[in-house]
This record gives sequence, structure tokens and C-alpha cells, in this order.
Amino acid sequence: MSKKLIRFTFLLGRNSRLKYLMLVGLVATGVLVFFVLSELSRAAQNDLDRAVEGQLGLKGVYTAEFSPDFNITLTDLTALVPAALENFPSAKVSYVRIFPQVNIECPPDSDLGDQQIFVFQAQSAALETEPLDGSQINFETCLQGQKIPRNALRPVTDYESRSLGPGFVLHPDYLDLMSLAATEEPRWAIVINLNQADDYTYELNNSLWQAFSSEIERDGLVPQGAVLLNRIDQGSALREATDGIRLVYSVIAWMTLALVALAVAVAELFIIRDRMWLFGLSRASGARRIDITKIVILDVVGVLILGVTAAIALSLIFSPAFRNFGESVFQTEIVLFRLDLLPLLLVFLVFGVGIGSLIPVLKVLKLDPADSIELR
Amino acid sequence: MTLGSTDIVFKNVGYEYSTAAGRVKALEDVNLRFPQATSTAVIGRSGSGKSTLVTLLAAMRKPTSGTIHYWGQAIDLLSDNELSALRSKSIGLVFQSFNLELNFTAVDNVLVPWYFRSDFRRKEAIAKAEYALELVGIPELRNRKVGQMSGGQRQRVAIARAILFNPRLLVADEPTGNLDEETGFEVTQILLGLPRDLGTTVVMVTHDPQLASLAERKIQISQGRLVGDDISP
Repeated sequence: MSKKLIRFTFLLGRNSRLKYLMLVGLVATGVLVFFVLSELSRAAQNDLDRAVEGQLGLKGVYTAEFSPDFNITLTDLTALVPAALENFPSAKVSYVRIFPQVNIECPPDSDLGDQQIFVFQAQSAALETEPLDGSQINFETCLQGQKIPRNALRPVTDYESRSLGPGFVLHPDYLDLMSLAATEEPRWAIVINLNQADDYTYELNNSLWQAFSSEIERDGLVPQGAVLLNRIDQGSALREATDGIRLVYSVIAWMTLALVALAVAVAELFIIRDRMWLFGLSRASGARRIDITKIVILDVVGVLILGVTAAIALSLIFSPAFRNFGESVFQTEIVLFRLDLLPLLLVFLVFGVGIGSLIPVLKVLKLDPADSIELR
Repeated sequence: MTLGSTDIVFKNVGYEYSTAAGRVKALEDVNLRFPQATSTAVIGRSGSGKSTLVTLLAAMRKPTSGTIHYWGQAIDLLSDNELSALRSKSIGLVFQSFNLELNFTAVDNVLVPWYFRSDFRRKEAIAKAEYALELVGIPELRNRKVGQMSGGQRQRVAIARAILFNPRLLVADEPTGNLDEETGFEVTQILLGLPRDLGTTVVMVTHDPQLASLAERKIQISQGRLVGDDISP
């Protein structure tokens, strides 16, 4: 694009400052509304998702509990579970040793009573966990009368509790001591996170029974007695509803941008009408059709880029006010302009230039240089 | 009629267009030669075909019959872009209604054709614009907005724009139509002095027989046909 044409377009824009300012203001307002709707959509859905997870479990999470009578090892599990999940390549798995009833209090305390203890083994990745850093408990704990450090134990997180039940998580280094302290046989469990809303209970059950069929037969068990699969996620219908809300917000947000692009197209048609004589004169003075087309497109590009830039600047200025609003209404941080919106804005710019300049360009392409004699 | 490489030659030129009422012959069988560095006035009544002659002469349109040669080159086979290049490099235009952007300064208006040429830097173009404004007698108005100028000054700016790149041909369509008698005379003097000052071929369409008589040659058009061709003594 020639510098001369950019300069000429700028000269024309400077010549009608008010029109330009109003158009830039229109684009900035539209983009700002898009930012607000996108962020409100995100905040509202995050709020709903958290509520759904809190009440109805994590999306796509299943727990498979193995009977204490089923004689399998961690080596068996880490070899056979991935094979059972080969149809779910993005699945994440946590391997957990569950000790049903353990007293972890140091004598003579007895307030806690018996607790369920979970020991997460290698490659545990299905759940968001917390580090064992000693900050989660404020009392002394013992196993078999031996005091254990505070960074070896913590209460389960909400996610873990919903998947496995209440209890404490113990560091794997204390597994041997745990085995001595346990009064009941421990059992294995796996937590599978498919991160998919659809229900795959039937498929997962069959895959696990098939993968462990030899071991089940070896121990003289029936599949249903050896492995018990539970779908923890009960909120798929509600999630679909929240997805619907997000879709509605997105449609409204994109319709705002489409309206902005159409408004630019209409405004540009008026601008073109005023400039037709000048374009005719330019054609008569030697401008090619493509030169005039470029001027029209540059005009639209200029308006859109300035409008988007103004919207970003305004969103940064109004950020603190929106942050406060978000914290008070949604209990979440609202950030008006997020960097991940940039690709969407780029898409808007491309389509905006297309929609905004299509009809004006078609109009100037029909311009006859001889019109310069008749147009003014 | 032999084709000289310094002349513009119309050979059996005709131009027709369609209307709802049918085909209209705006120009018919016109044979003309415009030698280099001469001035010609074109006179005729409204609707006689003068404006059609201007659009053809200024290479804005191609004739529907016959051929036009510009300095030895026929335009029949030129593409739209090639016609644009011809207008850009060799033809200047002056209009009755000035066709100036009122919020631009004189220099900015004169520079408009420069934005569509690639062979001059801005500095060179500004120097040429200032020289053109000097030639038309208003160098001191270079930075004044055209909206603050009189009709005569505006037409001088328009002439300066037309001669910015020293065209071989300047076509003026009723350049004095919006001016008073005295200013019209001054503007005509400037235009008709261009063959002497710059070696330009000037073709001026006018209603005014007095102004037409100032040109070296006067041609008359009626109902799309050439009906008179007088060379001043």
C-alpha cells in the first residue's frame, strides 16, 4: 500500500474530523460493549460452573474402586488402566490407596476419631490437588504412636472429597507406617478425568472389566464385585444450560460487532457520496480504479483500528471500576480487556473491513472519470 | 490527413450512448487535428456535443467509432489503467465549477494528481506546485484555504493543478462559466498563454464568442458535428 495513498486518505480524514471522530466513537463503543459482554459471560459462567461443581461434581470425573479382595498391585494398575483407557487419549488418572479407618491422633487426644486416609501414588493427575506444605492442619498427628510431620498430611480438597469422600491425604513416604496403623484392609481406587460432559460410564466399565479380566478370574471374583465405577459428575444438564447462557452472550457480543461493521458501511456510503466528485476528479487526473479502492479500504481500516485502540484504552481506564463491580456481584475478578481477546479482535477487524468497505468499494469501482465533469 | 507524432488527431470520431428513448449520437464523424503548443476554442450551444468532445479529448472515454491518436499513439487498444497513465502524465483538466476541496490549502489542492503518480518525491512535487501557482499569478496564496478565496483565485488554483506536471494537453471545460467578465478574461489569458509559456496544447470549451476569439483557432460544433473551423489571422 503506497505511502502516498495513506497520506491522501489521512488528508481526507483530517478534512472531515467530526465524521471521523463520531465513527471512531461508534466503533470504540461497540468494541467496549463486546468486551463487557465477553467478560460478563465469562464471569457468569465461571460462577455457575463453580456452583455446579460444588453441588454436582466435577465435569467428566469418574471413580473406580477396587474390592479389598481383589489382589492387585500398583504395577498392575499402571500397566492395565492406560490400556483400558486407550479410547480416551486425553484422560487423566490418579491412583489412590484408600485406608478406610485410621486413628491419626496423638494420645491422649481422641476428638477426630477414625479417619479415611488417601495416599496418592505415581502419575496422579486427575484432580486439582494442594501441596503438602504443613499449612493445612494446626494440630499434631501420629501413626502407630509415632508423631508425623505436619507437611505429611492434609485434609482432602473439595474436589477430592467429592470424588473419594471425606478424609486426609498422606504423603506416600509414610505408606508403610500407614499399613501398620490401618485396622481394615486397604483398597485401590482410581480417579479418571475425561473432561467430557457426556456420560461414558458404560464404556469405561466395560473397558476396565476387559482389561482386568485375567486378574478378576485369577482371584475368583465377578467383574461387578471386583471393580465399582461411579460417575462423580452429575451436573451435565446444568452445564449444558450454562453453555447455552454463554452462547447467548457470545451471539449478542458478536451481533454488536456485526452492527458496528454495518454502521461503518452505512457511514462510509455517506462519506463516499460526499467524496464522489473528488474521486471522479482523481480518476480524471490519472488515478486507477485500484487507487480509489485502496483509499476507501484504508479509510475503513483507519476507523476500525482507531476505534479498537480507543476501546482498549477506555477498557484499561475503566478497569478498576469493573474489577470492584465484579468482586461485589460475581465474587470474581472482572478484567475488561484480556489479551486472549486479541485474536477475536483481529477476526473482527478482517470481517469489519470486509463488511464496512464492500458496498462502498463496489460503488467507486463503477465511477467513470467523465463523471468529474458532471458531479459538481 | 497524415499523423504527426506531436499532434492529437481525431479521425472519423463518433460517440453514441443509450438512453431509455434509444441510441443517441452525441458526436458524429469528427475529423480534427490539434497541433502541439496551440490554443483552440470550442464553441457550440448546450447539448451540441462539446462535453462529449471534452471527455474524448481528455481520454476519459474511448470513441464508439473512429480513432483518436495522441502524439502518434492510438487509444483504441489502451486498457483502463493505460488510459489512467495517459491522463496522469500528459493531460490536465480545468472545470467550470473548479472542483476544488474547499478545506484544503491551494498547495494541497494542486498536489491532488501527485498522489496517483509514482515518479516524483513530495518535495519535488511541492516545488512544482509552487511554480504552477507562480505561473497563474497567486504564489502568495499557497497556504490559504481555497474556501477563503474568490472565484478567480479558485480557478487559478484549478489551472495550477492542471499544469502541475506540465501536461502536453490541457482541456478546459467552460473555465469562465462561474466568473465575472473581467476575471473570466484574466483566466482565459492565463490559459491561452500556456502554449507560449509551457508548450502546452490548450483546448477550451466556452459559450462566450469574445473569449473564443482570443484563441488561435475556433471550432464550432452543432448537433454532434463539426460545423466550423477557423484559424485566427
